[in-house]
Parts: sequence; C-alpha cells; structure tokens
Amino acid sequence: MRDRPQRGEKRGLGTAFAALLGLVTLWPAQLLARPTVAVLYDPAQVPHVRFIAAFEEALAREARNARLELRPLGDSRPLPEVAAVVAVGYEALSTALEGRRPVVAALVPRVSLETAVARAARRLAPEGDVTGVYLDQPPRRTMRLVRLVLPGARELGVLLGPTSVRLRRELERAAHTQGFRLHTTEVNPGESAPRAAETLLDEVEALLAVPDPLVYNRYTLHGILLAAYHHHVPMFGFSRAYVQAGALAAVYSEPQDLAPTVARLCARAMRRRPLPAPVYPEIFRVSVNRHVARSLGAFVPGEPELLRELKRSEEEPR
Amino acid sequence: MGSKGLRAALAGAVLLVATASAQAQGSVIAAVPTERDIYGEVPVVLTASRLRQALPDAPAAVTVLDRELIRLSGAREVVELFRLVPGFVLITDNGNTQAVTLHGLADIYSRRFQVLVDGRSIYLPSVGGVAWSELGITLDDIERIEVIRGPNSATYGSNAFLGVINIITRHASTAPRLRLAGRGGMDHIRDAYLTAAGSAAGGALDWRLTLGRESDTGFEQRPDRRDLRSLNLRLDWQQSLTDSWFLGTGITGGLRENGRVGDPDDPPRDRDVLARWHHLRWSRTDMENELTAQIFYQRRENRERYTARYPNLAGTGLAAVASMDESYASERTDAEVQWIREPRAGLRWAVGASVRLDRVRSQGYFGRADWLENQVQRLFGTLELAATPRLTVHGGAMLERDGISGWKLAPRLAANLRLAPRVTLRFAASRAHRTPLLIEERGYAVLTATTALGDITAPYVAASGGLTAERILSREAGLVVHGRHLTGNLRVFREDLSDVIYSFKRPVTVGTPLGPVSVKAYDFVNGPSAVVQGAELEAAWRRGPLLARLAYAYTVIDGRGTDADRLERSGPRHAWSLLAGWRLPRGWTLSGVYYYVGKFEALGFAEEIGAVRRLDLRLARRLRRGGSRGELALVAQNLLDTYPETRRSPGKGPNFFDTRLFLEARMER
Repeated sequence: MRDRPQRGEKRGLGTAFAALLGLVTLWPAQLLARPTVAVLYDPAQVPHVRFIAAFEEALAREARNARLELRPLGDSRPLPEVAAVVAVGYEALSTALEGRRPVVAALVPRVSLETAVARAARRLAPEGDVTGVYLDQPPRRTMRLVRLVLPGARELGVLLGPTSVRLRRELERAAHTQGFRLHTTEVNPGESAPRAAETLLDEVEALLAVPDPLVYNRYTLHGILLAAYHHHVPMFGFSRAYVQAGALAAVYSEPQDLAPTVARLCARAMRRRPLPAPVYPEIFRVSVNRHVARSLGAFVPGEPELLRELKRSEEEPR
Repeated sequence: MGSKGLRAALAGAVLLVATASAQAQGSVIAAVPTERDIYGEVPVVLTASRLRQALPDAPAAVTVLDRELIRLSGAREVVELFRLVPGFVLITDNGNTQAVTLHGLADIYSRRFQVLVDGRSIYLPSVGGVAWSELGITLDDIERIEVIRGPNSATYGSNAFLGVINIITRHASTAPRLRLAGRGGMDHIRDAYLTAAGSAAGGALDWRLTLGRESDTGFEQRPDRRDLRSLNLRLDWQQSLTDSWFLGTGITGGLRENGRVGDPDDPPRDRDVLARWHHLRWSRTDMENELTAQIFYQRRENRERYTARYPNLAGTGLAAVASMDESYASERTDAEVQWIREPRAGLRWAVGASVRLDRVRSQGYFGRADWLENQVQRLFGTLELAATPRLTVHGGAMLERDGISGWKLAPRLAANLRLAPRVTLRFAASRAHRTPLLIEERGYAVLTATTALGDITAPYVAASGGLTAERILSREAGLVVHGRHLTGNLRVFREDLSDVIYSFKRPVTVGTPLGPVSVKAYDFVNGPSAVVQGAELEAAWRRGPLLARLAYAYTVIDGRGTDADRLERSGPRHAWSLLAGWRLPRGWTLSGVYYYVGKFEALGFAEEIGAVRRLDLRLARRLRRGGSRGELALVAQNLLDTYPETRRSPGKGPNFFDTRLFLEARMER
C-alpha cells in the first residue's frame, strides 16, 4: 500500500466526498493498472531462488508497475487475476499449465517444455499462451563450441535417449552446418548408457552430451566419462558441473542469465501483446576443464575468447 | 583351495550390492530432463589422480600402451606388450615363465620393477618378480598400461627401481553385457574367455565377471605346457556424489609344466599354481580433494615336487636320488591411505602412508616349515608446483622401513620447462632402492640325496644374509613433443647402481660316506656397481587410418667390481621396435611389428643370445550383426627365421621361437 497516491487535504465535505468517490472509482482501475505476475517455484531449490532474485530486478526494469506474487509449489490457494504465470522448473510448469494463462516457463529444457505442453494441450490450452526460455542451449551453439575447441574434428557422437531423440533432426542440421558428421546411438530404457557409449566412441572424435535423464544421470556419467576419456574422446557437457566432473567444455546458462528474457516475455504479456514461441537462452557462458584439456593434449582457447567467438558467430546472418 | 578370503570377499560383494540396492530405492530417475539434470551436482569423475598426466607434464618418461596399441601388436599375453617399450627386454625361461627388464641387469625374475594392477602391487615378495602367466587378466579387460621408465620410488616405493608398470583395467560400467572370445592356433594354443557385466541399484553399482582359460604346449621339445583357469570379478559402486567403492577379486589356478628333457636332475614335472587376491578401495572426491583408502590381500601357492637323479653326485662318482620340493606359499597384505589435494590451479600435493606384511613359507627354499615375514611401513609425499606458466617443479620423497634393510629415504626432483606449446624439456633426478628379497636374505635349500652308501645332505641355496638394499641414483633429461600428428619423447639418462645384489655359487663342504666333499650353493651378496648410460626414443605418428610407432633404446653398461663383465653383458646395446597399423575400408585392419634386440646375456643364464630379429603381422576384420559386434583376427608371430629365446643351460632344451600362427575371435553385445 505504500505507493497508493496521497490524497488528503481537508477542504470540506465536498472535497472529501469527491475524494471518496474518486477512491471508489479509481481503486479497481488502480488494481488493473498494476498487473500481477505470479511466480510458481520450489523454495527448496537453490537455482529457483537464484533465478527469482534476478527476475525481480529484471522485471522491475521491464515493467515498473508490475507486482510479483511468489507462490511456492504446494500452495493451493487460487491465484488472483494475473498478467502472466512464471513457472520455474518442470514441476511448476506442469502445475501452471493446469491453471491460469499465459504461462512463461523458466528453467525447463526444451524437450520437457514440449512434453508438458503436449500433455496439457489435450485438456485445455489454446495455443500461443505458453512461452518461455529453454534451459538447454541451441544445438547450433553447442556445435559451434565443439568446432571452436576442435577445429579439425569431423566425427561427432551423440547419445540419445527416449526424450532427447526428438532433437535428432535439429542436431543433424546443426552438425551439418558446422561440418560434422553426426553419429547417434539410441539408449533404450533398460539399456546401459556407458555400454552404448563404448560402441559409439569407437567411431567419433568428440562426444556431445544432450540432457536426457535416461542417458546422463549421476550414475551413468561416471562410466560414460571414463569410457570417453579412455578413448581419447573429449566430452562436451551441458553444465558447469559436467565440466567439473571431467567434460572438456560446456556452454550453459546460469539461472540468473535467463531472468532478463523471462522478464521481457512477461512485460509483453502485461501489454497483452501476442507471445512468441519459447526461445533459447540469450545469455550464456562457457566453461573449460583445463586439466582435461592438457591431459588430452587439446589446445583450447581461453573461456573469454570462446565466448566472444560464439557471440560473434550468432550475430552473423545465418 | 580353502579360501576363507574368497568367501569373505564374496560376502563383502553381497553386502555392497545389498547396501547399494537399498540406497538406490530413493533415487528415481525422471522421464524427461529437468533443471535438476542441469543444475544438479554430479560426481567428479576425472579427478587429478585418474587423469593420465599429459605426457609433457609428467615428471618422468612414460610409455602408454593403450587398447589400440595392444590390439595392433598381436600380443596374446600382457608380458609380450613390454617389447614395445623402449629399453625393455623380454626374457623367457620357458614357454610359461617370462620376465622383463630395462637397461640390462636382466634375469629371470623382474626383480627391479614395481608392477601394479589397479593400484595393487603384484610383485612377489618371496622370489621376486611377477608370475606373468598367472596374471588372470584378459587383454580385453585392460584399459591401458602405463610404463614409467626410470626409478620412481618417491611415488611407488622400493622396487620402483628401474621402472614402474601400471596396469589399469576397465571400469565395470564400460564392459559389454556379454563377451565371448577365443584363440586357437599352433603350439596347441587354446584360449577361451567369457565376460558378463551388468548394473544394479539403478545404475549406481556396476559389476563385471570374466572367466578365462589359457592353454598351450609352449616351446617345442620343452616340457613347458600351461593350462590355467581364472576368475576375475570387479564391482564399482558410486555410493554418493563424493564416495565410491571398488572391489576386485580374482583367482587363477592350474598347471605350469617345468623342467628339461634329458636332464635327470631337472626332470619334466607339473607345477600346480594357485593365486588369488582381493582388493577393496574407497574414494571420497570433490573438486579439490581426493581421499582414498585401500586394502588388499593376495596369496600365491606353488606346488612342485619331483625326484631328481644324479648320475655322479658332486663328482663323488656316486649315483643319487633326491626328492625335491620347490613348493611355496607367499602372501601380501597391504593397507594404504592417500590424500591428494589441489588447493589452486598449478599447485597439487599428495601425502600418504601404508603398511604391508609380506609372508612366505617354503620348506624347499627356506629349510623351515613356518612363515617368514617382512613388514614394510611407508610415508610418502609429493608436491607439484607450476612456478611460472612455463616451468613446473615436482618434488617428492618416500620414507620406508622394512625388516631386512631398515630405513631408507627415496627422494625425487623434476622440472618441466615448456619451450613451445607442444615441446617440453624435462630434467629429473631420483634415488631409489630395492629391498632384498626373502630368498636373497634368508634362502636356505637343502637337498637330501639317497645313494648306495647312505644319505648325503647338502645345501644348494645358502644365503649368508646381512644384505643391504640395492641403490640407484638416476639423472635424466627428456624432450617431449606433443604434436597433432606426431608425438614422441627422447630420454637420455645416467644411472649409478651400487650394492647390486647378485648370486654366486659358494663352495660348501659337506660330509659324505666318502669323506668331506665340496659342493656349491647359491649365495647372495651386495657386490658390483655399475653405471648405465643411454638414450631412449619413442615416437608415434598418426594420420587418419595410419599409425606408425618407433621405440628405440641405446644402452651402455659400465660394470665395476666382482663380475663386472657379467653385468656389462646383461643388456643389449641396441634394441628397437617398429609398429605400423593401417585401418582399411570395410572394417579391416592390418598391422605389423618388427623387433630387433641386440646380443646380450641374461644374469644367471649361461649363454649369450645373438641378435634377434622378429616380425609379427596381424590382419583383423571388424564384425557387426544386429546388436552384436566383434572381431576376427589372424596373427602370425615371427615370420622371419626361427630364433632362440633366452634360455638357461645351453644344450638342454632350446627355446626356439618358430613361426606361430593363431586365430582370434571376439563377439560382444
């Protein structure tokens, strides 16, 4: 209530009445003029909290009058009338898709966002009122990184699981653009990803990791990374943790990097403008494991230089 | 085969599986990737110690034999691979007894090496060396072999005297679900292997089981048949993000024939061998630290009894018969903790401690029925500091105490200077020791011969004892090139060996019914010293489907003191190998290795072996059918003239290496 306009000089009954009338008539208008953005999130997840901190700032820059309504997951109170619902994470997105629209997804990888929307679409969801920023990087960006790190490589391997297999065509296109021949191996439920990797690694010069929990999880990563390393094949990860674990390099976005774009999409929703399709992260980082680079005998440019090159190549008309 | 240890290990394995399964209940893997997959923590896999040090960074000269090289070489067993390492010489006593050495001092035991399998020292404390044919590891299960040329006791303890052989087997998760492999060919080579692997507890626990059988009839005209069976189990368990466990257990047993044809005092006979081991390791790893604790136990038994006949015993003119017992049992139990820390880029240190108990029991070798023991305690530390972006300094030392030779300090210092991005210059100096073996210090073997006039008892091994450790001081300079197509390293060295323990025959007077007679018994003394100088070159060139690799060593031994000339002849002046591999279309691969080893005379062998030339070829075809893949290969070993391998006692059963052909097949899914 702190920014409710001050009205209050006592100039008699008329003024008071006028003021009261004004208050009564302006109050709902005031409410409408201060659109609410609800944020659905899991307070127990550190990346969610980091995202929200950055998002609050970014939204304040995009739309000064916006009001933020933070809703932890599990809070079953009905949402008020909102301009947009920001769903942080996959679980929040699944919940948000059952409620008010439009929904702006954050911290959700592409295949998961598509899965969630496809599931919800069967029930309600007019198209176009779900957008967001994917958590994973566009294949053309990751492949560009592989190219910058390994200028001479030709054979590129990708392990695909039941969900990531949907990215195959996009991966193939990006690989072609960067001059790679793409080798894919599908890991089916019940199969061992490290074992599948063994076969693939015989044929490739680099392994690109694509998020798919059936292929890459904390148990399989060990075997895959060791197998790749023993084949002298560098792995390109999708997070900083992967680089720390032993991937040669990764391009990734931190939660706060996604906030400005999500805020911009929310501002658009507030102005009731049509929402674009979900987009890939615009802000990203590069991380390189120097120990692995040296051990594999790879001469990898510095992180700032790689980042500069990646940005430069995305500015070029495709 | 009363294997209390094996039962304990299996119980441990069951417990590990049960705990892992219980822990995995809570972790359900989602169907679609979520933010947890991207921002979630994962275990650090390629830790400082697991990363093979980039060769330009290594403080020592290292030869890496990887799977590709192992396959292309056409080798049938591990020990043959060392022919590819510059300066290494393979010595064969018979078809099932081999040894390797570096820079001379060659004898039938690889006594001056540390040999590790996944961090477990398999060096025999009793008679020294390694029973290579009882290794119980199939080539397919090996990830790579790292050979450190030059002493490295500061990291690996005594016996890392001339070098270190580090055999690293594959993580259980990378083994195929099922693999069948076999080999058959001349000299009745019949090998068969079965590997099964899988995972449990939602992928947190991986296991691999390999069963193997290897048999052949060895050299022609030699009683050196082998028929060995082995079981090898490995479990890898990722308990949590930071904690992981490794459990290995194995058993190898069977027959290794020994003796000589036409030699009544060394008749053909069966030697029954049984070796088993258990190894448990825990590691806790994060970005900066790696803490490991491990314990292993291994036991080797050798049962060898025969009747020796002497037509003219010790020149007395008497015919004699003796029952010989060369059986022995030896055990090693070892516990070690190590902490590696990398507080910041360019600074890394490691500290550790270990205790070891070696035991051996042999009536035949020690003249007593109880266990002889030697305890070893060690403290070690190393430090690696990138002083400037181009200069890295490595320092380390090991303080060791053992029951035979007391306290010893083995320091090591090295500096790597990067001259250009792909060229590094290295200087290193180190001191190392070799602890005397129990047989060298306390060996006592007695022969009781029955003659027409009664029994004669005479020692044939009578160690005087009081030995000190052999010492080596090594200085070396190396150049490492790490190009895109060409990699290589050159090492020039000077090694000063002193107090070399060597065996000689000491006259011993024994009473006989004919009066006192002088016989000779083996004894061991710290005798000669030697200066070994030379150069080693290793270069590999790889481009597309082609690989060429050269290994060359030039060695000059300058002996001093007793039997100096024997030392000087104990290694070849020139030795080299040239390997070439060519990946052809349609899954074919052709490879060949040419070996040259100059003349030398192994210690304890009575004959010089002339220069040996040998050519091996291998033609392989990759197979794929459905979800299975495999390989079929034809290997021809020694396509050139028949040559004699080293042998003891000339004239008694030559070790002629004729052309040997065999076919290999492997199928996995």
